[in-house]
Amino acid sequence: MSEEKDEMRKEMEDRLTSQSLEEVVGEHGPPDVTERVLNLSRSQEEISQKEEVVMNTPPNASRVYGMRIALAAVVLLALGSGIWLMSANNAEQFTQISGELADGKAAPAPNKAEAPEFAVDEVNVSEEVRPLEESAAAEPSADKQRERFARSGPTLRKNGAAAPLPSATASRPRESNKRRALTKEAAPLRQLGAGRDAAVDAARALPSKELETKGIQPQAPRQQEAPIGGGFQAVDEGQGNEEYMPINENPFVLANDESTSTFSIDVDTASYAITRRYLMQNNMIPPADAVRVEEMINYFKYDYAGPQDEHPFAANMEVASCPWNPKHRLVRVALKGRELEENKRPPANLVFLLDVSGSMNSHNKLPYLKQAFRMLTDQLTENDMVSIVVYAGNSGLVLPSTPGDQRYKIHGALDKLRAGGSTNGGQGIELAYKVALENFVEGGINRVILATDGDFNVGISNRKQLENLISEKAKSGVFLSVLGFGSGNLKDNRMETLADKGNGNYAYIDTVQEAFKVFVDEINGTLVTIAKDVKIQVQFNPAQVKAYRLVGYENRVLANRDFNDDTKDAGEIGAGHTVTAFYEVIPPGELEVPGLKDQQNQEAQTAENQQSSENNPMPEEPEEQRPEITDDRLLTLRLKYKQPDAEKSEDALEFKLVDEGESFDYASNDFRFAAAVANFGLILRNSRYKGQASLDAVLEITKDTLANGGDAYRQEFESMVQRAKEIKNPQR
Amino acid sequence: MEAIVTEPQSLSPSELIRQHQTGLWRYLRFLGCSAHEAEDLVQETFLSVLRQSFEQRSSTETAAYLRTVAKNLFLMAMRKADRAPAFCDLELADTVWAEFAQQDGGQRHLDLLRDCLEALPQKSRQAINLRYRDEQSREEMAVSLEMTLDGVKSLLRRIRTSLRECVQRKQSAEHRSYS
Repeated sequence: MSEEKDEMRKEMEDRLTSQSLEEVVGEHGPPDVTERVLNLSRSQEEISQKEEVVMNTPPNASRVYGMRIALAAVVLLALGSGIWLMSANNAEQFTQISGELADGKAAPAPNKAEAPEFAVDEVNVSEEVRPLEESAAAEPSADKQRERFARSGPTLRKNGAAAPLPSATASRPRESNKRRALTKEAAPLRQLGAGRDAAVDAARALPSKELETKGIQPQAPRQQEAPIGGGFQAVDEGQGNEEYMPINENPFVLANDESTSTFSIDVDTASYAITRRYLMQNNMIPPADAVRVEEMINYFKYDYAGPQDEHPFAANMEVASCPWNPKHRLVRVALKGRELEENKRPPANLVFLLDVSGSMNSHNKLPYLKQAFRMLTDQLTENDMVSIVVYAGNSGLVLPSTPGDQRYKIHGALDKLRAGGSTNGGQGIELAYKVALENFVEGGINRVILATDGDFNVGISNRKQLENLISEKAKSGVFLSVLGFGSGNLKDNRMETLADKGNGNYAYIDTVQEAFKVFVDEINGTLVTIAKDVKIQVQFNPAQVKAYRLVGYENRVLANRDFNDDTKDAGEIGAGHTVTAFYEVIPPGELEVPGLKDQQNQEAQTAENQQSSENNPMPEEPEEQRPEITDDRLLTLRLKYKQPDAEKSEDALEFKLVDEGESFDYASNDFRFAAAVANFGLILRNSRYKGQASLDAVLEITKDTLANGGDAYRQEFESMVQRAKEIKNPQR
Repeated sequence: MEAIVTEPQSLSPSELIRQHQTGLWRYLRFLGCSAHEAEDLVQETFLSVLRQSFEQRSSTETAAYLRTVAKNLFLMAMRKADRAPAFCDLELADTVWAEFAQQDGGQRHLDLLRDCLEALPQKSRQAINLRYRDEQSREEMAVSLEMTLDGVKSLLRRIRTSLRECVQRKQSAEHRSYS
């Protein structure tokens, strides 16, 4: 017996050593749950306080309907409890509970100690209490939803009146006739966008009080900063356990040394939403590595002309002086993906892979997740199929493949989701892909949509294996999109990588309005990939360009030889998506090239940017020699892409750009707005390349571009710049 | 090493969590939880404790109380998932844990382990790196090291035993110098 115990003791000691090695060598250390626990604890306090307030407030006219429903629920619950208790011969208990109910106490609450749950959907309670049949029968039309969310949408300006224009720009034509767009003139406003703008206009006319009485929250619920009960301390809502990939900014490159620059497109928008959450909800400047300038720029829609030929997208270029360094030129390289014709979206086979682990148990995680997926479901038709797989808690298939028009069934499955309980792991991601492949739609959209706050316990814990699986499945035609939720645990770096490997996009949902943007307003761009592995190559003319710098896209830079290499993965473009990139260009004759003295730094940066190619050396193939530019053009743009289901690239498209010396003030509205966003990103990053950038200048440009109106997202940007100013200069 | 606290403490919730979460997480891992399961249960343990009026005593007693709550939650979760803990003798497991964790949730043990790792012969260090840093499976290691599967298994076990003995030697030396 003693020998057996000795053996067992050794086994236990060995386990402890093994586990310690995982921590020390594998760096899988214990997490810090402090903020999360305090937040959850505080949220529970708030909910119980709200419940008390509701119970103690006399009913008024507007609450009568809700009270009736609550009363009916209590009666039903009491009857149900009564039947159960009577059947169990517990008449005494029944009398006691009935007495309590009659005394006006709330219906027995679920035992929080057993299952800490966030069943209360704070954002849209009225829909939650609606009977299922009614919900299915009276689904709000997309237009109504659009109107509702556009109203509540991104922070509206308190005063709809136009900001006074600086005199220099007051008489400026809205769109310069010298614009260097390569395709036809601007396309007419999209119908969807026009509808939303109209709704925003209507909403703008509503005074904020009226919005409140209509139950519309202009913003996501702000975190309370008051200390929580029992001597709890105020919680820092900051970075917590969030992880961001370090960004080493692209340096200036001398065109005589290397005239060509290559990068992959990126349509992710998460960084903008994360930045917004820091500024608007946490009142903090975001950490520099959370700010990816290209994602900030690409958050917005731009009115570029779409393709008029057989290609899936059109190129748009423009050049003007650089607002943060007027001696430099700023070149915009932009793509516009083909819009889908109305009702022409291919059928979709979607698998929602949802994280319901304990950490999702927060007011801005699971409730937002449910709202987001409800919105997505509401856009689907009988041609689409939806399955739901959860991981952690009740892991497994929650909803087998179900036609998209059976909303009551899909909503019901979403409503039942509860966060909490210990993680069961399970084969979440493999199951999701299995379900997706079983229901594969040839020629349709086949996509797994992963929603999480950063817990990747999806069944495969090894990071590389997970990435390989996702890449492999993307080749089979099942793409992956990633949605991030909440704060404190966000693994931004990993989410972006996974979406990248899965040929999908990565968005961050910080508000219900953001869910609306991703799943309603831009659903076609989110779901329908029109071209994949889209690569951009720019060859500068050294006679016109002394040095150039790609603004942002740091983790998308490719080696020049990768442009023609079909095995090199690059970004995807969705229907109607716009992609915008800026190059800051130093003209010949300028003496100073910022950052170039720091030679070592530059070499390190170049080495790092090309690392991906060097790690996977291809059979040595000499880089195709580009013909030298002999005319007066500033640059040649080349684009490469694959059809969504192809393995080989189409022939490269080629365009040229001549700089006619346009000043920034006369550049197009879209150019100036995007430049202001880039400028803002450089300031938030405290970039060494920010030049003379200032928040005042960003605000001035933004206001100017919005003088004749602008969508609610752009107006919200103005509020963000204003907030950043207040945070940086609190005394003003 | 943290000082042994015998006086009753009155920690704020955040101090309470920060002081005890690491030890709790390691304890739950030891009982058989994956990293994520342990994280969830640590969260649930503190939520459960903070909901009640909880009388704080000395650091050691508080740690023991938190472990009991965590263990109960762990056992409930295991039952629900129809899984068994890593060990059937939980009493013995608690004894072994107490020896490992001492008063600091095992932190000193880990520090000493780092020292011992540095003194490890190069080949052994390579094997440890393949397993724990590169997260290779035993099968992958067998290919990398050109060994059989059983060979890899016993090699790893041998190295872990030598590391454990090294840590124990260092701990004994420390205790001797204290006394």
